[in-house]
Amino acid sequence: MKIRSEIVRTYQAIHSWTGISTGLLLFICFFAGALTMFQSDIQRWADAGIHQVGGDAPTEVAELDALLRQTIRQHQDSMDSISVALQGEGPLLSWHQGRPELGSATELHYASLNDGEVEYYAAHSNQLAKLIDELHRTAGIAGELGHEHLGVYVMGVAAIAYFLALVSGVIFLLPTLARSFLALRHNKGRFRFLLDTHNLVGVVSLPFHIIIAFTVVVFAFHDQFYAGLSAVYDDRPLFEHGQPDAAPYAIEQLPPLTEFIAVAGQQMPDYQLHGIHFSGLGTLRPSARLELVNNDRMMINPVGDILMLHPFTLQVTYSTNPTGAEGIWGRVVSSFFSLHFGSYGGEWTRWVYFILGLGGAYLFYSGNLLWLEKRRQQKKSSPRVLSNMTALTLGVCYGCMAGIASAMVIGRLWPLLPGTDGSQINAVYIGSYYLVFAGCVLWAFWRRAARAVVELKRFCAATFAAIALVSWSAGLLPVGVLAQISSGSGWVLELLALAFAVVLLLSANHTRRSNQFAYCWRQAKLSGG
Amino acid sequence: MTERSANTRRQHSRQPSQWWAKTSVGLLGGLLLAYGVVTLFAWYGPGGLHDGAKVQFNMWMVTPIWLTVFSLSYLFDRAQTAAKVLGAANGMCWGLFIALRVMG
Repeated sequence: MKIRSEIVRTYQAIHSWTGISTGLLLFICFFAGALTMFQSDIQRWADAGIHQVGGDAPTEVAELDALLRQTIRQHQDSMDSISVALQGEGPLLSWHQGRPELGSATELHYASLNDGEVEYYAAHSNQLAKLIDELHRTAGIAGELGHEHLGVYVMGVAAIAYFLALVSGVIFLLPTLARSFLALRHNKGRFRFLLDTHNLVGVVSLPFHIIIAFTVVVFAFHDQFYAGLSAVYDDRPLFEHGQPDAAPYAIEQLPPLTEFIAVAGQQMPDYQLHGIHFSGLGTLRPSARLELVNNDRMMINPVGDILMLHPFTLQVTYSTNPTGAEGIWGRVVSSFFSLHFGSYGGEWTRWVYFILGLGGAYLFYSGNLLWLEKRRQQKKSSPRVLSNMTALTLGVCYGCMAGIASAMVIGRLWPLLPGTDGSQINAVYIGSYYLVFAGCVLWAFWRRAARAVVELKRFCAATFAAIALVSWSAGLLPVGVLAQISSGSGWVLELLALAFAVVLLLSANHTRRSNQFAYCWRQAKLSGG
Repeated sequence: MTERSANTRRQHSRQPSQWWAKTSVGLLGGLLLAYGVVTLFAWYGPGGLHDGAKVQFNMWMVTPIWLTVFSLSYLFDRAQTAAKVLGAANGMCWGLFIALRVMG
């Protein structure tokens, strides 16, 4: 395929500049995003350090129904927002007051059955999985703009640039694609290998990246897009909001849970009902959100598909998987969400998305290194600029990875310190992430890239190894502590962390031998650093 | 392509203002065109204006059309050409919409 050379050059320039300006933010989002594929494992791992959630599963729904009614009668504060779990392990009911603020201590209340006895207990929320998801959405950029995080808008803009980078990358690769697509030339220098793997990963995962870029723009700017649409629509509002009830329903009027299950079976027969979340039960706008799962479907989010009901009349108010001819629009929209979250196909898709997410992180890391190498060879940037940009790339990428791993480890060990309780845990996560992240970036600048790269990789490896170690070292600690940290964690997380540690360690040794950033080393010596 | 026209072209693509011009034309022209296509589809496509979750579908469709047009608009040699072509496409799209609205 022949494309005129000026056009190719134009797109090459677009690729370089969009890539270098957004690559580091995208790295953070992709690494954290890959981890969110295992967010329930991560959450279980975090919970194991703090409190035990458990109890028996009820033998029949009627028992759960009675528990729900008794709880609402005894704890009026639960009417605002209470969840009923119909599947899986953990407490049967959970509720909290108000909207849980990220990073602060929210008290969560639980109810479960133990040998037929009702047990109530409270614990501080542990938001580890949520915080990783937040990092994924905002790249760690703090602050709010309106009712949305500033970081979400920043990533929306970055995703526009990222879309340009994808298209431009393909266009300037096209002329040479057939020749070098599957070539991995490792005997032609380190940067040739980096370029070949960058191209290979980019081309192989292109559909995934196009989906991610496009959905992120919509996630960030949907309010603005709707505002634009309302200008060209007729006078009717874009969304019909149902009328509020004339008077609040009494809790005694709540239909039995079996009727909710029946409606779910009617509306979405091939799904499993995992849970029901009631909100605003005492108000004029009560609602029930039914969470339904079917791994053979494209579900709107990792929790599953959603069916909203009026909890007293059982009227369906919203469905993310609407049936019938008119439902086609909703089903297509759900599939966009599903393609972003990987919420289809079950366990296989989880792993594929995890690998694609890490591949994406590699794409941005290698892209930055390639940009630096090209600028160096073409002598387009001053040695100082190159050295600083290399330090920033290394600091941000390894700082992000080490920051997440350190936050997990520190958060897990925190409750063991004397004089601490669970209320600080979310602040500890956030504090330790930013501390380690900033520390790595400063370290990279202070030590200069040539030395810092090996040290940062080793430090990263150590933090990942520590994740597995705190899980497995339980046997060496006193018995009471043992119960606290060893239970409830799966092996997936520990093995993954260990794999990360090994890869980083090998990579550190390889980098040390290859002396990859020697130019920064020379620069450092010249400037007396 | 003659030597001379190739040179002129190269000069044009090297003008720094062309970068900003092309980017603005692609960004704004692409967004307007995306809204034009989506608006036509919303009113006169299958299902009419308020069909189930079609408003959500329409909102979702703005971005892929916009970004595709935007990213491909650098294929034009000059920003002026891009502006003309995108302007014409927008004119047709919005003209058709206004005509249909007035007649309907």
